[in-house]
Amino acid sequence: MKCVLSIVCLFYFSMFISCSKSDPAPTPVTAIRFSNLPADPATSFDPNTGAPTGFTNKFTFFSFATGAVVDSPSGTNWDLAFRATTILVNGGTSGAGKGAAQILTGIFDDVANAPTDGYKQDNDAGGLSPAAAPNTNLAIPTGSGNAWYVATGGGPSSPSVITATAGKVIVLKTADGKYAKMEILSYYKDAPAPVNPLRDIARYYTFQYVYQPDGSTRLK
Amino acid sequence: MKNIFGQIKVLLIVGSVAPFIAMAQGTDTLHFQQLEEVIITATRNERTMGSLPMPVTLVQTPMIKTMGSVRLNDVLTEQTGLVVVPQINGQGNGIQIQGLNPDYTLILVDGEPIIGRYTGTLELSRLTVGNIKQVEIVKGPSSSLYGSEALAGVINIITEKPSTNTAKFSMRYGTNNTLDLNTTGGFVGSKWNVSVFANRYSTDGYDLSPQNYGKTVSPFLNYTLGSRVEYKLNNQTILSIGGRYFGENQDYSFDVNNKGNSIRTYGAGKITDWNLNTMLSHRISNRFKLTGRFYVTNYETDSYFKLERNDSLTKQDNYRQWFKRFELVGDYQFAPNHITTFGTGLIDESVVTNRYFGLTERTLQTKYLFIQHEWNPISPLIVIGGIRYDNNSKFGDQFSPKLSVQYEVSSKLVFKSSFGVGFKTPDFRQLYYNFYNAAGGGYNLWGSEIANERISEFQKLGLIQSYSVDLSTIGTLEPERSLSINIGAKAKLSSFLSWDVNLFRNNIDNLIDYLPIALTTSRETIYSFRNIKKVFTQGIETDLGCRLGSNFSVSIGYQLLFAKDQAVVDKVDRGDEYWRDPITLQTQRLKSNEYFGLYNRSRHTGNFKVFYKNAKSGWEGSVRVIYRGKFGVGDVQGNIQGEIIPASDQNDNLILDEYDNFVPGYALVNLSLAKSIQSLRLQIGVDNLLDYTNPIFIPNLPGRLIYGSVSFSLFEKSKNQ
Repeated sequence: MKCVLSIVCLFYFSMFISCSKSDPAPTPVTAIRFSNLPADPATSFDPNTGAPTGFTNKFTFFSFATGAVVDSPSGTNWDLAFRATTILVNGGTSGAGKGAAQILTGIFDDVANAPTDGYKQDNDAGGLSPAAAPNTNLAIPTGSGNAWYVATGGGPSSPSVITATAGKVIVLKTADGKYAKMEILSYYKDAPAPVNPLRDIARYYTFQYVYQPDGSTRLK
Repeated sequence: MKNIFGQIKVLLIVGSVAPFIAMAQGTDTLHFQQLEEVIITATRNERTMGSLPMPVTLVQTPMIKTMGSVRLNDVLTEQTGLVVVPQINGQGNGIQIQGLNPDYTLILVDGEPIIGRYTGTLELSRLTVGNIKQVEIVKGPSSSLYGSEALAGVINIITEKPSTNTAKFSMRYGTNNTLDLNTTGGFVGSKWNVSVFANRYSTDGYDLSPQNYGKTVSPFLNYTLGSRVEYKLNNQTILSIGGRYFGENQDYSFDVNNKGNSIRTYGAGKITDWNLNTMLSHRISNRFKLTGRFYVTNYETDSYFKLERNDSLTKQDNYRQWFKRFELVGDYQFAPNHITTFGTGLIDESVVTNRYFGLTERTLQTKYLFIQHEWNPISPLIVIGGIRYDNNSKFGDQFSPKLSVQYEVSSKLVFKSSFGVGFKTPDFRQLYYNFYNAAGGGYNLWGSEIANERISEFQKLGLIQSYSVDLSTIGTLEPERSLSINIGAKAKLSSFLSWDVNLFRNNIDNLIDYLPIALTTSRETIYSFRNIKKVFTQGIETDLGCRLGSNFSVSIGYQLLFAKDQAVVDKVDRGDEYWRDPITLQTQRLKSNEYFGLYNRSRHTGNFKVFYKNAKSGWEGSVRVIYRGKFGVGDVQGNIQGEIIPASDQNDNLILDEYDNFVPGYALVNLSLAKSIQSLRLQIGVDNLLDYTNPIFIPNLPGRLIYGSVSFSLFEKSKNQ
């Protein structure tokens, strides 16, 4: 009887030790804000109309692991590509990685875990083509009211305003299959509020994100 | 013929007019008779104010003169429950009744509609009040009598009809070099009478942002000419022919400030508007009267904008609208307490403008029938029921019923209620608009009737990338319909104190709004119109009138208004609406009580007025305080002197909530003082005494205006007495 008890005790202890070995205290994941990511902004403005001109039609690439813009994108060294209101993931037709995304409605801080399914990859022939190619059927859909923004207003002398809708959280798989969440906070340089489309420069993303490097779905 | 409804004692009088009239009665009986409170708009028959079960406001000429008003917006802005709101680009003046947009109020002159709703709103300052007898305002739907557009209410301007030979001149001059010249003449014979009228109004405009080039309101000049001839063919038959002309010219110069560039622009605009109105009225018997009317009106605008640097055209607009109507109306008195009014008519409307697809003329025809019965079963009870049937060439059949009931509990208390359906057929803009915005993101806005045609054109050219909606849902618009209830009471609290209250609710379940329908290959959104929005407005309007002695009257008016989008209310209740703090960029869930409602609606509006009139000494004066509470502005961003009007929403949910950037509430103080010496009348006044301005959000509000006016009658000789 004693023996049995001691074996149980031993087993219990070994369990405890082994558990504490394989499950170290979780590394805290923190929300990081990235400001003014250029997404093919205008390089000049028409002196007669003020309309933006001089677009390059090139994407800007971003990596969650480094938290920085990727200057020479290749393979899986980037996670997202931005051009105007189009955002590509590194997966499907857009890249060689495992990138995928889905849009949740809620508060960024409240998304504690990434869902395990429901992700979509890009499926668009345009892909990363530098031409002003169409981008539809994307993991992060384009179009007003379809995912993260709404376009409003506009008139002969005032361009429309792109509002990054409050309460939209984009949950992502990165190029190497890790999880991240992001919230786009503004589409204009220095995140002005309210936006004045005759003054503020469009195509500059400000967003916050949480990247989980350990491969788990935990995002808080 | 004795009118049963006229016998019911004028118990209390709506709103601000009440104390004024009561006062006039106290001091001058003759004066009171001239101010008999008869309203034609509510039933299409002359009825006393006290016999009408629906909310009605009446403003008569003596009141308008004391206020020193010259245009319709001056008159309406001081009435309880009527809010004069700036329109597209913050310019212009539209009228909001019970929280509904200006597009939903029908505006009539002598019962005939004024057209020229270029952007949906009828510009109120187009209408002078120099030759009018009174302004009648019926709140709540009157589509049962007037058809389309009479959804929020009807405003009917009744022009003066001469009873004696008269010639009157008036001149008013004030701040901004604003000059109003007015002359009316009336000639009365035994079988005929003629009235003629001319008005010239000019102003240098005003500049609320002197740091910017150009003016907030550019100088303009307009003329209004009118005449009516009435001829009594025999004792039963009257023929009347009238016409009106309005012409306006305005010059513009401004900078468009875009991304640091100042683009100097100039231009000019021209409006002409005329109408002709022929009426033949025949009394078949003591009980039966028939009136036939033919009305034709035309409205045209032309405008252009050019760059100053090279005179190149940046924008050119033209718009031509016709409206023709034939109508036959009869009223038959079955018994003294049973009166039926019925009518039928045909309307032919057309528009040609560069803003619509193709330069073809777009037309709409409407045929209609209506019937209304007024019944007075027992003396304290009045029941008015009516229904109108409209058949529109594009929108088919519409039935608009209305039932109104009034019960007089005692000579001191009357209850009123009315239930009705209002409708508005889609306007030409919603059907044929063809707008491409090249600047910025670039987008197309297509009217519902041309959307399918244009889509297939784009598709053939391979320009369509994707569709946002099922295409079969595009291309058919239905008339917007409202269901409305008004319940109110009038109480005579004491010999000098009267109280009037009305509760209202309007539901529109198929409001037209635009929505994205497709995306082009160059990533431009295509929008079109659909009946998608569900809104409601509800509130209370109340007036307290007090007579102090025989010369003073004091009144307080107030309106509480809630105007909301039902879909947003539901979304907030579900916890699906968020807002993002503009400073911290933190997103939070919006609580139910934090949703404010629709743009351009003030929850609180009110007025406080003191009038003085001494008929013996000829002195009269007034102090009026008009308050408009805070409100939000929507996503229609326009330019004021090259400055953008920022939207109220600053927290990324595109709805108006408590955390947004409201236009602050404000009060206007207006004063006037006048002295009459026989046929000469001198007046001085100040509007907006405190010089309140808000250049970006309320550009239609000039600063302090000081004016003086002189009016006199050249001869006034009674012939008919």
